[in-house]
Amino acid sequence: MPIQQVGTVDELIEALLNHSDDRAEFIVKHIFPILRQLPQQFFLQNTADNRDPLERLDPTLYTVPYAYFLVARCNVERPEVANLLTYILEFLRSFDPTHIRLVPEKFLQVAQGLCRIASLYGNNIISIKPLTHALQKYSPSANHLTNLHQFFIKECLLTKCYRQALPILDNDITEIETTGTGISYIDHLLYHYYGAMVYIGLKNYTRALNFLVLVISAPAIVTSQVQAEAYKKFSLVSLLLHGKIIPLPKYTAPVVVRSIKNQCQAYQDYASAFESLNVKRLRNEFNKCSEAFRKDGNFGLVKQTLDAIYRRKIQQLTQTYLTLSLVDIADAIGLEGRDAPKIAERYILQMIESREIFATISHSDQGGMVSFHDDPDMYNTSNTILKLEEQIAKATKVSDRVIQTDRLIGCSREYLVKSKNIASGGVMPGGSHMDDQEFFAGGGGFDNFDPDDGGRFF
Amino acid sequence: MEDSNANAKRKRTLDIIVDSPNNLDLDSYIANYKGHTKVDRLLFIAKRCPPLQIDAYKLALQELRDSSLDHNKYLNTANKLNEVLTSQGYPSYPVDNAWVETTQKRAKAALERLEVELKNFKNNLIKESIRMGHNDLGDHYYNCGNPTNALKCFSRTRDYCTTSKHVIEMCLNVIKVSIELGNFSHVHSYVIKAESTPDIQPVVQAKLKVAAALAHLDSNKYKQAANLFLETSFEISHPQNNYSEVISPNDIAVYGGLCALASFDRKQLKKQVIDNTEFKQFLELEPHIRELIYGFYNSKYSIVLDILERWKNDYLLDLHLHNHVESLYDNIRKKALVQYFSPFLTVDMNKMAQSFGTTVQKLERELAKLITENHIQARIDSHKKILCAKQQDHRSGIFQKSLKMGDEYEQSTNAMLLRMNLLKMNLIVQTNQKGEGSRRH
Repeated sequence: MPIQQVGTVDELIEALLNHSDDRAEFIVKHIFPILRQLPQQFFLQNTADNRDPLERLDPTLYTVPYAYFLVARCNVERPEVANLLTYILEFLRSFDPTHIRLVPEKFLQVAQGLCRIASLYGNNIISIKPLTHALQKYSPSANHLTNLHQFFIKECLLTKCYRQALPILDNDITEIETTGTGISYIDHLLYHYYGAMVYIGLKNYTRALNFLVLVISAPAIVTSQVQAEAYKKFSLVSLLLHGKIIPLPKYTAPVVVRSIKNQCQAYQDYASAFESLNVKRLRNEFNKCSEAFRKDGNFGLVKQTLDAIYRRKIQQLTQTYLTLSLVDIADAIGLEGRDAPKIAERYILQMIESREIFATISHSDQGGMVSFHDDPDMYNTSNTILKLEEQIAKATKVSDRVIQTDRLIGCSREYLVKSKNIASGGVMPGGSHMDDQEFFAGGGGFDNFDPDDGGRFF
Repeated sequence: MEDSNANAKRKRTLDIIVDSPNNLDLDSYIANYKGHTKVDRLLFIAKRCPPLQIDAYKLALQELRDSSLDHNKYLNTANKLNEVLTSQGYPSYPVDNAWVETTQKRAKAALERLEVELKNFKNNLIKESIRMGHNDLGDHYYNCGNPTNALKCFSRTRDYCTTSKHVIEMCLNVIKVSIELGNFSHVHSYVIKAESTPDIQPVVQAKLKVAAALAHLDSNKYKQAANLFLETSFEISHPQNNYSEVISPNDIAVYGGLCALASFDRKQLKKQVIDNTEFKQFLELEPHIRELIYGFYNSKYSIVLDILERWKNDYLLDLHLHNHVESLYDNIRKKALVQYFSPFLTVDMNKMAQSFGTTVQKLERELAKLITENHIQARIDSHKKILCAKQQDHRSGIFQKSLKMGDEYEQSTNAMLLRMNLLKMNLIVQTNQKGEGSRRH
């Protein structure tokens, strides 16, 4: 029985309560049309007996209408902060994920509302934890990207809750589903860009670099400004981590590579100065471009690279020397001034602590002698086994997923149609024959992917 | 010589002035050469080495007067000689103006005659005569000190060559002129051309090898140069078929020896140099090079460095070798350092510095550079001044590598899956997606 037109909140609630069918089709067919045509103002009303309509609705059973009420209330100029906060938190705790995936944009609006309320409440941080749980519940799996992801990470950045972002960030995104998550390409770019910033904040440069590479190498026919900004950070992080700009994946869109060349010249010059390991040249380049770096908001990272060049040089010395006096080290890495050996010592101490190098400093003679050692980890402890097993497990998981994907493609309609065409010698719609390899390429860039790879690895 | 483009390239070493040649006896040195290279070498020495300047100029003048028609160069050289003489307070050298005048006339007459002849030959369309005409004209230009025109004439004979002998003659002529001009890429191509002709005589083969070797030397390819010098047959030193208008057998020994030392490893050195009977004959001419090679092979580095140092100034005065001396010496020294260390696990740097005649500090710097360039697998104990061979721990290496590989595999596969899914959902960065393209961040 279709629901009649509703004029008041009471009628709506009545109608909803009478049709407690929680199948998705029912909601799409019967509830949506009603909710859609109601004006925002409608959801602000109370019931006839002056009670809050939300009191009468169970957020688990009536997730979608509940969200409509919340969004409307969050958007008013002066919301009732405390009251609304309780409702939102209640909603985020108990919403039905399959229902809310029908209206992803409403869910995002609720989240945005929560953050607005939290800031009105005077405490931004309170929004982070509920959002984390909500997001975990909301996304179909930990590897799915949703429209809430980038917003959440951005909130974490703004409130400086870097660690709280990790439960989400530490899962690699591999699944993309536009229905039910309401994402567009910008969500993917921003999520990984913000994620990289979080990792940079936590000094986990390896992950940061991976994220930035994902942004830069995203499939593209024009260059997004996010990608250009990502490249700037990428070049600096790459210097910190590898001492040079590592090559981008082969499948990076040519248009992106081109615009990077045009837009990020300062960064490339700076990187080549870094690669030369010439401290003077790096400082010159730094002074020349510092304005640009500051404008891009990368000044902090750049300053870290100024530091990193000394570390890199010390690292190089460990390859060449077994022992070397602090004075010689200071000289070799290009430190100047009276305090140079002291500064060198500080660098070495930091590097020993962070296990970048293995060394001991002896002050018994010649004002400090440093002995460099090899990595003491001989890979003969149970730790090694654990590490290896963990890695193997990860690799197997990944290859399982690849095999699964391979099967899915094998079963997909497009694949079967196309392979049938090829088998019967037919001509492809494009006019040319296409072999399996090209078909897998699916729009370019996938050519170095081999579905058997997983099996071959171990 | 002033206008040859070889000089433009060699200018960077022009400022090196050799004050005292160590072993050079100008008369006997230059007696090995004839023709243009003799004059060029003399002028080169005169420019580089003030003490030998006057003698060199005088010898050059004599050579020019006796066996060429190059009156311009004669006058130039005479002027330079007189400048030097007056500045040092000696009476000036009498310029043989009568010879200059007659030569000028003779050269002009000969040129006109040859051109008329060539025209006639061309009208008669006899291939062989045309070739001879071009050749004669080329020879004449060459004699008059106009290598550019000579090169043109010699190259023109190419179309009229009928036998392989002609081709070889043409090639040798072009090579000779090109070496003088310093145009070594030309030398390369004509050597290849000549070598591809049938029935090539051993002497010609030897000449071609030397020419190609010089070309390689010029482009700093010491290994190829060494190989070619070492393959050169000793027949080239026989008086009737020598190549003294380009190079002397002594030069082959020096160039070949140095290039081999700078680029060969120990095994190659033994096989290709020490056991090479043909090259041994060359080495007899320059005993110090033989000593040098044996010293290097037997790891007597102080002898090696001593010989190198003693002969350095002479090599700086060599027309072809001078701007390679530094890099050849450098390479030899590097090789010696590497070889010195190779049998040891640890080496006392004090002793090593002694053998190489240097200080420990300098040696340390040299070694550090060699280690960074990955020539020596070792590390320096700067405290005790000991050089220690690097202990390779392959087991740990494998662990490290496989852990890294696992990480990379996981990451790249995930990136691939993400990319594939993005493409599948058509989430491509573009301008018109849901009106969000204009939303730039």
